[in-house]
Amino acid sequence: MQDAIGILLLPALGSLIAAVFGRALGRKATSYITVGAMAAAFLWTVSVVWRLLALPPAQRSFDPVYWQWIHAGALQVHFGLLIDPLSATFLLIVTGIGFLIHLYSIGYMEGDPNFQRFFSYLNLFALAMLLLVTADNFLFLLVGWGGVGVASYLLIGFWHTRPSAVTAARKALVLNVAGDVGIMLALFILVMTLGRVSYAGVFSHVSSLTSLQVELVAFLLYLGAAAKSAQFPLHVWLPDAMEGPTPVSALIHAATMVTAGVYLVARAYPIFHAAPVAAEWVAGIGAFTALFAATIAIVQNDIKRVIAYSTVSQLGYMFLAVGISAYAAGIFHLTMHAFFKALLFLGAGSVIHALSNEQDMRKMGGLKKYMPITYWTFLIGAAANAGVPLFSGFFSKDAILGQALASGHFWLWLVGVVAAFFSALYIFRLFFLVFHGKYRGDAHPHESPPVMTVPLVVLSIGALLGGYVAVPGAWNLFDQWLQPVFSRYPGGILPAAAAAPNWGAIALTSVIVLAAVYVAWRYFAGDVVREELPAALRPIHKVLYNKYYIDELGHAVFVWTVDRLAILADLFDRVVVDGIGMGMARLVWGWGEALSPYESGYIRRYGLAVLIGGVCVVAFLTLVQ
Amino acid sequence: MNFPVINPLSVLPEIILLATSIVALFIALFLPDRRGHQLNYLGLVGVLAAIAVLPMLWAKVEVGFGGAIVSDHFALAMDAAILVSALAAFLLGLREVEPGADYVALVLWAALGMMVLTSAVELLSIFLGLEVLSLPLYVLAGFRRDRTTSKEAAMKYLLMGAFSSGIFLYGLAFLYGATGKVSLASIQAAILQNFTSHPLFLEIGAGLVAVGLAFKLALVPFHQWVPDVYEGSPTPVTAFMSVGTKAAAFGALVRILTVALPAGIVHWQPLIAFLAVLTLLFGNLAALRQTNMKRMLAYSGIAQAGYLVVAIAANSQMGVGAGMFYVVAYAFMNIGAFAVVAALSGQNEEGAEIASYRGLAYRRPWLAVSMTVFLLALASIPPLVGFPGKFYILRAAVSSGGVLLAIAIVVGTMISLYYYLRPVLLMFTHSEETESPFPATAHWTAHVTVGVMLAGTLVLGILPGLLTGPLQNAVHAIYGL
Repeated sequence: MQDAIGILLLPALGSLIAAVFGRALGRKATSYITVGAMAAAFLWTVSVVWRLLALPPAQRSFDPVYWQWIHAGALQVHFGLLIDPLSATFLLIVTGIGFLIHLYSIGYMEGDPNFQRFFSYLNLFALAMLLLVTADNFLFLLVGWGGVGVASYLLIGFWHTRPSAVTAARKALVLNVAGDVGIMLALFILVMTLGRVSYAGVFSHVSSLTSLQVELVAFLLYLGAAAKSAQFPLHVWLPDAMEGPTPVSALIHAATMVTAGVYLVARAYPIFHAAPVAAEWVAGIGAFTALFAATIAIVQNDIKRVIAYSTVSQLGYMFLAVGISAYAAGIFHLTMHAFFKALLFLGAGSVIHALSNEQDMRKMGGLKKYMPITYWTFLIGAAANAGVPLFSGFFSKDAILGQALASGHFWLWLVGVVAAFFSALYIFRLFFLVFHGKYRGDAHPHESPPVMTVPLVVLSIGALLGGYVAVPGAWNLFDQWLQPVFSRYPGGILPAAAAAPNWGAIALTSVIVLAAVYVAWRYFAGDVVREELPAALRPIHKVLYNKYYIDELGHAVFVWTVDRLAILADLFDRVVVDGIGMGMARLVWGWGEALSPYESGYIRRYGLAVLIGGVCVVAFLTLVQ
Repeated sequence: MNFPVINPLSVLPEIILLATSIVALFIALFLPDRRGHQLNYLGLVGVLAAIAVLPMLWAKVEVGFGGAIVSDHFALAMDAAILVSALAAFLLGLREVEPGADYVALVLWAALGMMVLTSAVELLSIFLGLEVLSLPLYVLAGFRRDRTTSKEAAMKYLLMGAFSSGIFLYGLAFLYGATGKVSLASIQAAILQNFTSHPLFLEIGAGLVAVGLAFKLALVPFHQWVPDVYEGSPTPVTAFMSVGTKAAAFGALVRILTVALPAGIVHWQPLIAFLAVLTLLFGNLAALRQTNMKRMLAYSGIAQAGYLVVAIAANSQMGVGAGMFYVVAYAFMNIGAFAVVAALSGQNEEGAEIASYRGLAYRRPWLAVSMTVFLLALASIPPLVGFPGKFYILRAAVSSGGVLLAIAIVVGTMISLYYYLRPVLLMFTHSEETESPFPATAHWTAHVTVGVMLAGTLVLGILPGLLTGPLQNAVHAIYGL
C-alpha cells in the first residue's frame, strides 16, 4: 500500500502542468493530461481496493508513513496515508465520479477562454480532497480541508468578471474558514491534552480526556464539519456557490467536498461516541436541516438552486445517520448521493448548456423530446433523490430512517419522513417543469455532445443499481465492507443495525414518496406554470421563496454587528495601533538614519572601529569572571 | 626524526581543487585568449568532482598531517556548502567577469582555503586555511580592474583583512603562550587541568581569535568592510564569498570555541551572544535604508550572520546543528538571490538599484518569481528553507536559556520584513517604463544556478528532515560522540 501516494501525486502533477504549461500545451493536450490524471488515479484506486478485498477483513487497514514532518519535543507529525475501507470508499468516489465530471467538463467548458486554468483548479481540488480523506492524522486532514476550501473558492469564483460569482466565492470561503478555525481549535486541544494528532494515537487515548474536553473537541470538529457540509445555519454559502460552472457544482458541491463533514464525523467516531451531547446535536441539526432545506427547495425557480437545497437536505440525512452512530448507513447514503446528485447536476448542466445558459425553470419545459438521453438519465437521478422504491436513494434513505426508528429516535425518524415527502415533491416539480409540458423559452434546445452524455449514462447506472449492494432483509454488502473500520474502536456500530427491517415503516415512506410524486405531476406537468396560488398559501410561499430570511437575518445580525465592530476597530487601529506602529517605524527608521554616519567609507574609521571593538572584546573576557 | 603521517585521503577534495587549478593554469598557456572563458567549465568540473568524493569520505573519519587536519562529518558537511558556493562562482561568472585561468585558479584556491579552515584542528593549520582563503579573495574582489568600485573594494578588503589577520594571529600566539599547545584538543585538556601559564593570556588570546573570525563572519562592529566589498566586487564573487567565507569562519569558530575553550572557564558565551544581538539588530536596521540591491543584500548578510552566531552562543549540540542547517539554508537562499542579481545584470552591473526592479514580474516572470522566493526565504517565511533554519536556531537558543536572544531574533526578523518585501512589491508593480535597465537575456548557467537554488530552498523548506539527520552526525563529530 506504500504506492497509494501515487493516487495523490497524479492530480498534483496534472494541476501543476496545466497551471504552468497550460497555455503552451493548448486546450486539447491540457484536457488529456488532467482528465488522464484522474482516470489513472481511478484505476490506481481500483487496484488498491482490489488488494484490500483480497485480504481478510480485519487486516484491511494500512498506514504507510512517508516522512516525518514535524518533530518538536513530544509532538511528532508524520505524513502518512491511511488506507482502509472508509478512505477507499472516498477514494473511489473522488477519483471515479471526479473522472466523469472532468470528462464532462471538456464539453461543458468548451469555448471558455480560461479552459486550462479551469482544469488546473479541478485537479488541484481533487488533490486536496484526496489528501483530506487519506491523511492519517488531523493535521494533514486540516491541510486537505483548507485545500478544498481554497480550490472551491477558486472554482466558485472562476468567472471572476461576474460580481455575483466573486461575492459567492468570498461568502463560501469566509464560512468555510470559520469551520476551519473550529477544527484548528479542536486540534489545539488535542495537542495540549494528548500531545498527539494521529488518528490512531488520538482514538486510542480518548478515554484519558475528561468528558468536557471530549465534548468540546467534538463540538469544534462538528463546527468545521457543519460549515463544510452546509448544515443549518451555516448552509447559506452552498446555494450561492452555484455561481460556479455546473461541473464544479457537481464535483464539489454535491459529490465530494460537502460530504467531507460527514467523513470527518464518521472518521472521528470514537470521539463522537465519547461525546453523546455533541452526537445528539449532530443528529438533531441534521434532521432539522433535511426538512428545512427540502421545504425551501419546493419554491425555488433556479434549476441549480433547487438541486443545491436538495444537497443541503440530503446532507442533513447523512448527519442524522452519523449523529445516531449509524455510520455505515450514513456513508452508504453519502455514496448513493454522490452518484445521483452528480447525475442531477450534470443533467442540469446539460439542460443549461442546451438552452444557452438559461437557469430559470419557468423558461424551460417540454425538453423531453429535444434531449432524450438527458431526460431519461435525469429521471433516474430524480427517482433516486426522491427515494422512489427500488432506486438507490430508496435503499440508503430507508437504511437511515430504519435505524433511527430502531434505535428509538422516533422524532428524528418523523422529521426524516416528512422531509422525504418534500424531497420527492421538489425534485419531481423540477423534473416536470423542465422536461414536461410545453417549451416556454426562446433558445434552440439540442442534446449535448457525447462527452457530456456518456458521464450521464454511467452515473445513471450507478444511481439505478448502486442501492442493490444493501437490500433490506436480504444482504448488506456495504455494512460488511465498512465493518472493520467501525469495529476497531467502541461505538462504531449501532446495535439496532442488526434488527430486522421494519416493513411497515418502509411501506409508509414509499407511499408518502409516491404521493409526493403524484402531487408534483398533478400540479407541475402541465403546459403552463401556475403563477397564482391560493391566498392561504401565499405567505408561506413568500417565506419559503425567501429561504426563511436566513440570509437577511444573518446579514442583519452578523454584518450589522461586524460593521459596528469594524468602525470601532478602525478607530482603535488608527489611533492606538497606528500610533504605536508608526512610532516604532519612525524609531527604527531613525536608528537606520542615525547609524549612517558610521558607514562613511573611510578605511581609517573602519580600522578604528575594529580596534575599539577588539579592545572591548578582550576587556570583556578578562573582566567577566 | 618522526615525520607526520600525511594521509592524502584527509584532504582529497582539496587535492582535487588544487590539481584542477594547476591544470587550468597549464592549459591557459596554450589556449588563445578569447577562449580563456572555457576554462570556467574546467573549474566547474573540478568542483563537481570534489563534491562527488564527499559522500565516499563520509564513511570514515580521516586524520591527516599528524593530526592537524581532520576530515570528519562536520568538515565534510561544511565543505559541501563551500563547494556549492564555489559552483555558483563558476556558473555565474561567465557573463560578468570574463573569466580566464586566473579567475578559475583564484576561486579554487579560495575554496581550498575555506575547506582547510573547516577541517583544521590545530592553530597553525587554522591560520593557514584563513590566509589561503583570504588572499585569493582580495584579488577576486578587485577582478574588474576597469571598475573603480571594484578596485576600491579590493583595497579596503585587503587593508582590513590584513589588519584582522594580524589580530587573529596575535590571538593564536596568546593561546599558544597560555597553554604551550597547538592542537585544539590538547589546549582544552591543558585548560581543564589548569596547566595554563597565565589565565590573562588565555582570555586575551580567546578575545583576539574571536575578533579575527568575527571579521570574516561580518559581525558588528567588525563588519564595516562588508557593504563596500560586496557592492564593489563582481556579483559572482560576492555570492561566493558571502556564503563560502561565512561557512568556513563558522566552522573554525565552532571548533575553536566548543573544542578548545571550555565555556565554564573562558566566558565566551555572553560575548558571542552580545555580538549576535548587536549584529542582527544593526544589520537589519542599516539594510532598511539601502537603495542598491547588492548593498541591501550585504547588510542582510550581516543580519543573517547575527542569527547564525546565536546558534554558537547556545553552546549546545542543538545549537551547532541549528547553525549548520542555517549555513546550508543561507547558501541556497543567498546564492539564489545573488544569482538573480547576476542573471539580471550585464557586464557593467546595470540596474543594481532596487528601483530598477519595478515591474520585473511582467518582463522576466521566472527571475522575478525566483527572487521573490529567495527574499521570502531570507525573511524566513514558511514553507521555505529560511523558516526551519530560524526555527531550529530559536529552539536552540530557548533551550539553552537564551530567551532574550530569541526575542532579539524575532524583533530583527520583523524589521527585516520591510526591506525583503519592498523589492517584491516593486517587482509586481506595473511600471510605465518600457525601457528595461537590464540586458534582455542571461547566460544559461545563471538560470541553472537560480533553478538549483530554488529547488533547494523549496525542498529543504518543506522537508528539513532530509538534512537534519546527516547533520546530527556532524554535530557528534564536533562533540566527539
